[in-house]
Amino acid sequence: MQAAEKSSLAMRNWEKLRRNRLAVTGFVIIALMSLAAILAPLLTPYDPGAVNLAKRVQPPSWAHLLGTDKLGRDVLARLLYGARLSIVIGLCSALGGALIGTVLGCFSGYFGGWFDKVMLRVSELFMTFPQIILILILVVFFGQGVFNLIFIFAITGWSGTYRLVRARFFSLRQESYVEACRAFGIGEASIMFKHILPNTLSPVIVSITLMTAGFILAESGLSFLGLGVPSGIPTWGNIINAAKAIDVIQNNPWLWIPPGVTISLFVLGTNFFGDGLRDVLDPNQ
Amino acid sequence: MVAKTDELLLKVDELHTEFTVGKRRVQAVNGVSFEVRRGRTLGIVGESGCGKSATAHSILQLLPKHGGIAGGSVTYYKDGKDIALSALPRNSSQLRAIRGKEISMIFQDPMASLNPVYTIGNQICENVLQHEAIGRKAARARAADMLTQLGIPLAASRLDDYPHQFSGGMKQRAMIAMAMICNPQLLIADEPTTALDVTIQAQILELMKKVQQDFGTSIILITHNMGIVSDMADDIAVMYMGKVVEYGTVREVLKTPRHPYTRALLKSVPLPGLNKSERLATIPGSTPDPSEMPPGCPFAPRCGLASDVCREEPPEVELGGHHRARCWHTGEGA
Repeated sequence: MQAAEKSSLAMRNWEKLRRNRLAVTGFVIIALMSLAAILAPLLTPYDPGAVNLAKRVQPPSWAHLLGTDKLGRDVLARLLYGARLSIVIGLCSALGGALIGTVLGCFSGYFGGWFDKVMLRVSELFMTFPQIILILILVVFFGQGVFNLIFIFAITGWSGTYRLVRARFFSLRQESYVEACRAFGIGEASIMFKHILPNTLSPVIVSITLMTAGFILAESGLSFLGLGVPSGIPTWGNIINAAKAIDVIQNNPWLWIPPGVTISLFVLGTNFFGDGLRDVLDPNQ
Repeated sequence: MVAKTDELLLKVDELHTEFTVGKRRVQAVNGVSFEVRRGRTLGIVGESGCGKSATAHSILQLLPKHGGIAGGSVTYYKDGKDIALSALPRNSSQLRAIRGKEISMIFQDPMASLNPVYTIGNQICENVLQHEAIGRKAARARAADMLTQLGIPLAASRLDDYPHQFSGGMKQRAMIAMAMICNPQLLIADEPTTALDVTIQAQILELMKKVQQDFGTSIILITHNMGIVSDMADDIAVMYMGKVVEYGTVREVLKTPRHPYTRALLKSVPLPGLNKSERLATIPGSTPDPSEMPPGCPFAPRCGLASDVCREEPPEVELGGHHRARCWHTGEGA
């Protein structure tokens, strides 16, 4: 009893996470791919934007491991550098959406009342309105660009987190420890942000990982359609954009198979990690 | 050690607390009056739903949004001044300054009363830091001191433990530490031992007695357990359907109960000294729906002494000393 290990909650969860095979697999995939993106300049000598018209559409070779595209740019270099932007867009959008959703969810769930009623309807509106159409409208409105895309993803993607946090607040504000806080004279803001909020964060963290995967897919989809990131900037979506032509699909598989596999692998890894994290952070387990 | 005195600390006068359920208003507390004196323990007993918790929560206005004080007053006496707690706006800074500092509260379920994401020390310190201008280190030292006094070994090192590393009894000790760290004048204990097993119950009750002796704290002990009340309390308020039906010192109420409900309650629980051949009695029927209260005495439908006169609101009969009962038949059937 006295020798009880000094385990913090974080340590306990870390132990559980390490024993969860799904989460570890996902984490390894994400970590390796993120590392490759960060170390891109060391892994490839090529500049992802360098056009070399002498070497257009070359199949994979020792010089160009994944071949070159229609402008003679190295596909591997573009994939590695593209990973940086795609991951950043996915993560920042998810964080932004989660931040908006969490803050609104806190107020909505803690105070209830008219604010909650209005916000709930607004979130339902965002959930029922087809997101892709909303994004298309906003892209037209704000123009293309990395930051615009992150902004658009964040303001269209907050409703899930909002509902999650709101629902948790509804149940947590009835907890005895919240009542105890009140009985000890602790202020509303402190109860809300210091005592209740940390107890809602596990599902938010899980939803951030899953949202990241979703936004990476969304970015690829939009860029594929030519509506996402401007085509000059390498992202996974812009690379796969090359496969819009049927002859490319038939004759130049190295232009679309590697980015396709990369996107799938990363999204798979994120989902694995998110699912594993959910199991770890679920207090009922 | 502070002697038990006759000095008034808290006076609850004709308190009415209402809850809005759907479109109806339900009277949870319906004209409750009692006094708490310095260094003494008041036991509030009654069945579930009789309004004992609502009364306790009304004192500090710790009521849910759909509930509120509808009438009467709660007055707290501090250094000769009287503060009308019931007149302060809910969650006002004046009221928050009293909560936890002057009047503290512990709850039924110690498992749920501590925030799982913070350490025990952190949570105990938070209460001191909230009310007193002292540093983190001093607060921590005081928290360790408090836990030691409450019988937690190696208290200083256990401050960094999380609630899940504490057992139920230890959590309730930690709760008492949180409640007592600012040395409040009044501790409201809302069924503090109901969620604990019997051996731990006894320990916690002993601890509360010790705390009372060491700090001279007055206690309001809310329970449905007659045994605990007879062991702990100096005064008793027996509640039924939002009303205090009998009030007096432990001696007066337990030795000479004058309200039929108190008598029925006492007959329904085993108390020390009870004749072994005697069977425990049950109270027939169940409590009426608080939104459809019968006129007159609410206990009449279940009462063996009920007569026609019970359809009228019973008077509060003074029975000498502080002893009083709310019944038409206080003189009969003893």
